[in-house]
Amino acid sequence: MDNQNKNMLKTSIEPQTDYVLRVAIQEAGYDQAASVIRDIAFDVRPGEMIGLIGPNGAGKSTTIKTLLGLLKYGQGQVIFGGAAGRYGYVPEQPVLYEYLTLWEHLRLAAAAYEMDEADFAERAERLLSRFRLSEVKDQYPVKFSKGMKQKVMLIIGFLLEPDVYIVDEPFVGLDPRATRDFLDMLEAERQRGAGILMCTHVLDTAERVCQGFVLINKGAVVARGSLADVRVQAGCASDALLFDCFHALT
Amino acid sequence: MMNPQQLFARRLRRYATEQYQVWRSALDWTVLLYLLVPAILIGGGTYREIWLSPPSWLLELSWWWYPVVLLLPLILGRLRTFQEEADILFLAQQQHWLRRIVGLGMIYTIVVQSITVLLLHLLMLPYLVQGLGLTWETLLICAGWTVALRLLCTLAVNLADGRWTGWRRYTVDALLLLALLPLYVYGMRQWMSQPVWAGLLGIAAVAVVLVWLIRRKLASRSSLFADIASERDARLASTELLLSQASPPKRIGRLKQPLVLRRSQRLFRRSDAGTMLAELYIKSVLRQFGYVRLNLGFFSVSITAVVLTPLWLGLALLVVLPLMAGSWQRAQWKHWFDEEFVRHFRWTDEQAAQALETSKFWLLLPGVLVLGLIAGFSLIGWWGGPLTMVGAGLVWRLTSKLPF
Repeated sequence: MDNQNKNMLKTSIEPQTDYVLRVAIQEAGYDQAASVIRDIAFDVRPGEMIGLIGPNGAGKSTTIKTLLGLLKYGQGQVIFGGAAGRYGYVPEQPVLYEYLTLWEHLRLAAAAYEMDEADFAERAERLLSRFRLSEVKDQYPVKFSKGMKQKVMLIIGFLLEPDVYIVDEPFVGLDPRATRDFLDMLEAERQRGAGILMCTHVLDTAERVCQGFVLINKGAVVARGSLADVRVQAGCASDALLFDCFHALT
Repeated sequence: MMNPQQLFARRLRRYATEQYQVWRSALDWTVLLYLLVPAILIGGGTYREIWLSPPSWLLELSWWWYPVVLLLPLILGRLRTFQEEADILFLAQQQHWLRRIVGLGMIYTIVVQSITVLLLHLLMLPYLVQGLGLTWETLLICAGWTVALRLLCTLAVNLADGRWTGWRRYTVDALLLLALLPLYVYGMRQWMSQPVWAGLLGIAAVAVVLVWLIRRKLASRSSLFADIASERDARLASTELLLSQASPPKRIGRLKQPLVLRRSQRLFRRSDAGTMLAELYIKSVLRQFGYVRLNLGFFSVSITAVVLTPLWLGLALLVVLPLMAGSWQRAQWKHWFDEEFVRHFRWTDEQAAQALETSKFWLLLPGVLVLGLIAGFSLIGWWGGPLTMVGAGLVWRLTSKLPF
């Protein structure tokens, strides 16, 4: 199940229970001559939510693109573990197709993962109801507001019940109620045993919901571990906020 | 200080430059040298030959071909207003600027539509003069009637597009054309046999309606968004034509819900990944007006070609034409499959291949069956219709599996 491309970044799926995602990127970028990130290594274990944080342009999105195999150049290794090695990606910018309804978007996602038909219908209806989109399931999601589109991406992620979620800036465009629903759903998935890698700028929320953090600055990891570990690495007080650590490290 | 006329002139220049660059990118000197120039020379020679000694079939063509050929430009006419997105920010409060730009756009539209109608007449001249025996006066009246009705269709549809959206807009557009196109054909029939003054009277009557519509258009404040969208399409028309193999699907406009399969209904019983991928592709293309129109156009031309040819060639075309459509279908599928949302998921090669084969077969089957039915009726007789239809369907079942 290995996918070795010519640029040497090795992405593999190795079902096992120690971790759901192992990232060991030596360097990566849009071009070999201009690598954007280097020496980025961390694990996401089952039932763990890791916050990937850093200032604008630090390399967070590049890290995510690299581990999804979307960049031209990369060296290192990415392993998807868990029970089935399945991941769900929720992009920052909603990606939708013009001529398919919301229900058909969900159906396409379910087909890609060969989900059982009855299982799909039950789960999709439940998620649509949870995110209050049942009424518009036969409409084109490209016509939705930004927040509604973001909800569609989240529903697709949750529909697949993957071993690990890779979520890029999930709070952009969500109203407070949808944010609450999203966090509750993530927590339920975490309880189920899924791992979550969440890239975000909303530090107070990240501090509240994440068990671990990876702080990136200028393309490299500057702190990693629990909030207590990050405080030590940042040289901050033992009761310092993640916000203070962020400022000390970046 | 810039005035509306200068702004219009600048936009017109930019449009001309863009179109020139688009066409130049497709027609480099090798294409010009080896394809276009010989085509013009051969075409010119053939035209001269037809003019000097017209073939018998041309002389026997019925009168109704004349207006029917010109129906397409009537339907496809577009009012050019040269309005842009930024006008919402900068010119929406300067109504006299917008009115002036729209007015100049109308003049541009009238000039361009007149030129294209005259060129089409020039192309059909051997048939019109030698086949139908029309005098120059009659020809001018008919051309004038065509320009007048073309402008009428264009303006009426434009005003309707600014007023209605969604299915109402398409319904009103269709009703307008259904009313105006028979009027056009009826007029053409009359002006071919009536005295010139009668034709002039008809054109004058349409001109009065046109003046009223132009005044309404210039007074309209609600059509800005529709005009901007139409202008965007006009600017991209050449690019889409030249890159039809690579262009993304057109935007869905203001429709919130599909007109076709409104309730996300299933098409196939099976739910495996390949079938589901095929089903969703079929749904997505059936909802695209451009796709449906292209297919209808292709099969209309195919039916004409099959009916006009001898038996053996007609049967050969029954096999070859669906293959050509299938090849185009394959290219369309590849673009859809490369869409970001579809690529978002991991599909196996087997799933993709199954989806392509299934969707290609079912999408073209109705056209193939109709083609077979009409070809059978026309080439063999009444009993040949159903027989050829079944035969064409079975052959398509086999040939649709071919890898091109």
